[in-house]
Amino acid sequence: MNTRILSSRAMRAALACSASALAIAFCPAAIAQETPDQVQILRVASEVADGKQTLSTSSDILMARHRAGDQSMLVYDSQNGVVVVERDGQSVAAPLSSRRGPEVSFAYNYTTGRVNGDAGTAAVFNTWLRPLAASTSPSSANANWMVTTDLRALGVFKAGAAPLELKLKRSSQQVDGQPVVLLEFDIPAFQYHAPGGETVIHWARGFAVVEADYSRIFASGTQHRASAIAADGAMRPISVRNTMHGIDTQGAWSMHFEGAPAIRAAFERVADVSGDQAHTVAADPNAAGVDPFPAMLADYLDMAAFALAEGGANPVPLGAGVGTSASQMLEALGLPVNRASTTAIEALGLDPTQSLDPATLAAMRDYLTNSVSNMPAPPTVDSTGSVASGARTNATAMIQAMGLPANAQSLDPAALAALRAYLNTSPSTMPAPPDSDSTGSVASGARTNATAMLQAMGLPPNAQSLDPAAFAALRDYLTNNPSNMPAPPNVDSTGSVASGARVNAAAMLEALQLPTADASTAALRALGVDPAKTFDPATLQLLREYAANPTNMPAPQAGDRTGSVASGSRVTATAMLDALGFSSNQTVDAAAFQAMMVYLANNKSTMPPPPGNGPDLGGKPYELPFKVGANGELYLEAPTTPLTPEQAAIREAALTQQQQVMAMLNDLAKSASQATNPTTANLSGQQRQALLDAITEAARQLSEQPNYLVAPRLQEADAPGYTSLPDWIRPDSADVADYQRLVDQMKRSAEELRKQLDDKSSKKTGTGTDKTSGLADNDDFYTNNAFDYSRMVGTVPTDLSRWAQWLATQNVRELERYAALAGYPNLASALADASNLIRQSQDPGYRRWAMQAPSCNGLAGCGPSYLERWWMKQSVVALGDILAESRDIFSTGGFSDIGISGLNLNYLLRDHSLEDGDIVQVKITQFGRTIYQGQVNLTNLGEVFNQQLGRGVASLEIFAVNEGYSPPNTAQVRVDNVVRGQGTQTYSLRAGETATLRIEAGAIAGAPGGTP
Amino acid sequence: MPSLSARLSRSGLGLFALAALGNLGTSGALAEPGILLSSARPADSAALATGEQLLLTSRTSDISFAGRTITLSGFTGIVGYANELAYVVVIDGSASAGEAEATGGHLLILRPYGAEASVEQFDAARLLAKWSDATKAAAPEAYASLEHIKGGQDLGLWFGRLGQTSFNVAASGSAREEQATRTLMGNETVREIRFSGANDPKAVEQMVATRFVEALRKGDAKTAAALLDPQAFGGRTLGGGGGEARLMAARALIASKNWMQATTSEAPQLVDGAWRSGTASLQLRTVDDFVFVSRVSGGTK
Repeated sequence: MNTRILSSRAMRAALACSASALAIAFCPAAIAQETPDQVQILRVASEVADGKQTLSTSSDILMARHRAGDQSMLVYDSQNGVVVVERDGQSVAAPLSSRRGPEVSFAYNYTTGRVNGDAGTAAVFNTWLRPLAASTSPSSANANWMVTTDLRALGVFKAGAAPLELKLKRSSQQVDGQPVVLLEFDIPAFQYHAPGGETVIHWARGFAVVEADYSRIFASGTQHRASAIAADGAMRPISVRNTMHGIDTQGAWSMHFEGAPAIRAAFERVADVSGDQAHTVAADPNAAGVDPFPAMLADYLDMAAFALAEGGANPVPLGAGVGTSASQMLEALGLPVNRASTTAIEALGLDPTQSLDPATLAAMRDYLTNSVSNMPAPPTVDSTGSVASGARTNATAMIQAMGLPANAQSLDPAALAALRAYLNTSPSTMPAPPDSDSTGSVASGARTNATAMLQAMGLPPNAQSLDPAAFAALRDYLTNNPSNMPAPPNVDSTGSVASGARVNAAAMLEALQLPTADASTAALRALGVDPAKTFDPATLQLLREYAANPTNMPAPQAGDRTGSVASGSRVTATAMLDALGFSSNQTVDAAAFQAMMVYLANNKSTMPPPPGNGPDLGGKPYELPFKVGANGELYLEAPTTPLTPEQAAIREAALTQQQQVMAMLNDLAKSASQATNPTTANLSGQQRQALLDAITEAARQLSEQPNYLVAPRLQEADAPGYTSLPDWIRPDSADVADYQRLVDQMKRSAEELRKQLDDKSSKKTGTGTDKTSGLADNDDFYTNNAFDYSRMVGTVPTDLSRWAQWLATQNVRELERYAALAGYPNLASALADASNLIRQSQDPGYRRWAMQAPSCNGLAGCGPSYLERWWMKQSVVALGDILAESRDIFSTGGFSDIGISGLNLNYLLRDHSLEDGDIVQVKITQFGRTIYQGQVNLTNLGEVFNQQLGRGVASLEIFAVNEGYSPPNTAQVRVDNVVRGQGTQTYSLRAGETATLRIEAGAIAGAPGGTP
Repeated sequence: MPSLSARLSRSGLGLFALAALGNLGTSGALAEPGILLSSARPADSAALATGEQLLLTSRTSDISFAGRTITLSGFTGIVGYANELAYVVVIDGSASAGEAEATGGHLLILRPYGAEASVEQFDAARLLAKWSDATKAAAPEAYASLEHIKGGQDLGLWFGRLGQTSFNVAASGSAREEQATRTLMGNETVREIRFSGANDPKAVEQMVATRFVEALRKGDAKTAAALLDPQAFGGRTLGGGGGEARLMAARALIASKNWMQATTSEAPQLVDGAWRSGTASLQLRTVDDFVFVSRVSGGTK
């Protein structure tokens, strides 16, 4: 499971999470309640313009929530969506596929106020946002306040010092009698330095309307602008807009805000930040990539600002959802999107791929859950314990052995840094260690005592304090085998540790990341880790690296009971555990913390490969990992867990087999359609058609097999080894039942939604007005260009009966001849493709080309193939001309004519099978005038359109922009109030082709259509 | 949007509206005390902001306004700046700018970049509607004169000799456009350059570059911000905090280099499409009818 992807998507769903402590404070109903399972659909959209390109996404999310007692759980399932990339004056639209099951989940404990679940989100919230909110947020339901802070205090370190203000507002509102909470934030312009070196001026506003207990979101929108100024003076405009709103089963807004002036005003304040479209400049192929940091930061700030506005006690903050809707796009582009996770883990100096390993987390969780209560309390000071590698010693003894004062109070970070530098640069000349140690022990395999070591290093054994170089040398000696240690410098045998700072045993051990008590041994055993491993060089090397990365370290918190130390950078057990998504009050034991570190380090080699989710955040350019579909089209697909070699082999074999069968059918069809083919030369036209029909039917049946591979990857729910249980839920915990029940409920709800959509084909649906927000005169803010696309799938009918009336007026024999010459297998196929024939025939360029006789000069002369092509072009034009005369009265592309009662055309476009990312343009014309035109991309849920027609014939044209990754482009159209013809029809098109549905408005049931 | 001259010529004998909008920005270059039409508050004419309308009464003098010398004679009327142009409304007496002279019931329209002033009738009825009660009380004679003008125009309207136009001198595009772009185009620095009389594009660019470099050298973030390309700050409206961001960017820019070393006090020169001063180089970009600094490079810290 790709945890980064899932966690970011979870954040988008995080709005419908459990109620916050704040909500409890002013909303008694939120206390200790049992709520029924709730399922909600959210539509999320994001648009990021970075000065070079504009990236837009939209998708729907299903979300389920349950609360019992002091715990709530949120489960989230992303539906399909679409990505649009605009760059260099061109746009590419592609689907985002999501055939996973529920992707992310969280639990929130109302008593502890902590989140469990997605590690990154939980860590950010628990570590940074909740504490900050607790100290800044007013307790009243209605409040208006300002938080003056710094990016670092929000958990963002890569931009250095960056003071900023967050103006926050929280107010109770009523929308149609329903109490809601309006949250607003305003971040006036502030300045930071992006990791890529640009100076960035950044400002933003946002608003959200949520349920009074914060359990649902009705609408949210945030708008960021930034100007990134490069060293060469170039100013890059950046715009990031993230929106989310609840929708009903018809795709309409779940709440309308016409009667809520305060909410409308809040929206307008946010929309005011939008400004002009951020311009793009032509991409310089030699230029460095665009630093995505400002866009990433925008998402993060959304999360932080809303968390603070809520009061910070909401388990998975509102902004996490809003702010990371952009994440979906970035996921699709192969970028890491879980900046929360990445930031937190990196801030702790951990390897994110380690910490995201489910097995590791599960082991630690088990340990913490089951064993911590049995852990011995950590010693106040390390005077009694001993640890390590089978050989025991205690810190005091060790320090004493080294001649160090035991009561030193601290360890100077600068000194350690200097030591580290020294060791890193002169590792080669250490003397060999003594064969044995007489008093203490340590070190991986090589044993010695402190005095011996010091002697070996040329240090006076009676040193009173630790010389920096000696200290580092000692550590290295202890950890990295002594064979190649450098000669110790001739320094400081008597003085203090450096800079007057002193060290005591505990601090030293902490600095060395060594366990300080028996507790650690117990911890290691509890984890099933051989304590002897804890001092292996690789482990300590990792610890050293950890300690050597001070810049992103969080400051220790007041509640830390284990203290903190290490090399200039500081970390706390609490922060570590927060980063791992644990409750810090479980882990008062420093040794447990150490044990986890060790466990992580020692098990690194057995870790699964890191999630294939693209590069790190650090200033790398956007990449567009489009894949090429079967028809040469481009599409995007959300990154997924790589298949195992075995899975890949199975899949490859199946695909090959499938392709072979389809190729064979295609070859058969070609043969059958060619009168000159010896195999079928003797067939009559009728027999030939029957053969073609049989082949087509065989192909259709094959493609409709349940196990037909329609996408370039397995459906993950069916993939071997797929587990639907999220990492953070222990298999034997009570959370499993809650989780599975929510998932089942969500599935049922999804089915119900689809049923309702199906039923709508015979009912009148809502008007266009109902689909709007009521926030403004138009909803442009909520409809980025990704929403102009829909997708559909379907099948192709080929019989001639639907054109019988018209054919009765035509010279059918001539039409058949033209169709054959034009390359169609039969007349039905040609008529089904009438729109394209018409389009080609009416194209002046094509006409000129078609009507021009081929040149018969040259070596080739006018061979049969030349003439055949010429005839074909001429036939296309001739056929197109005939059809053009009947343009508006022709259903094509698999559609058959219909008549509707009344003048209101209400129709549904939807996927009726797999969503493969088909994009279409829809155009409705009547009386020679286009009355609707747009590009749409529907989900399985579909979308209902409403169009007023005049009495008479109109045409609904569907133009296939692409074919998705499962050609051709097929889908279903359901029309309301059909009194003649089939209300539900399907089409099937190749990219660039058009299907036309002839609609007679105001038709009378049973009466003949208006066709000739 | 059609050009101003096109809109003016289209207006024919129409009465020009003078609906005032809100106040933003500051202005200088006018040394006449008066009262603000909307509130009757005394206003320092040197700080007349774009969008404000200053009522002057019984003046006979030459004044400097919109980069020109305006000769007032027995003048009672209103002066003001809109984003696109400046105007002198004559209620009593006369006002002339060069060849153009406006008398009661007419106004001088002063266009930027040294374009000739023109004279049109203004719509007294709509102007009257903008007078606050306090202003009426403060300048009853002026108000009475305006009512008199209105009476004459009413007659002209009744006979069909006059017609009302939708062109509002105080908001020559539209009220919304005027308001939206006032922060950008109504800024005092921008206005001074536009109304400086310079009409050669290169000269205008050089003035922009000169003022910008001066601002960098002086650490004048406000002026530098006013000349920064708005595109990177949300566009022409500079709304939703964009104006503040622009100012912050100017401060960051000033702090980023030692501009006293990087630039010279000489006027920047156009070299290879960029305006250069010392080691600094400015690139300009046209926004509406003005140029703003879109890129500043060179110099060392």
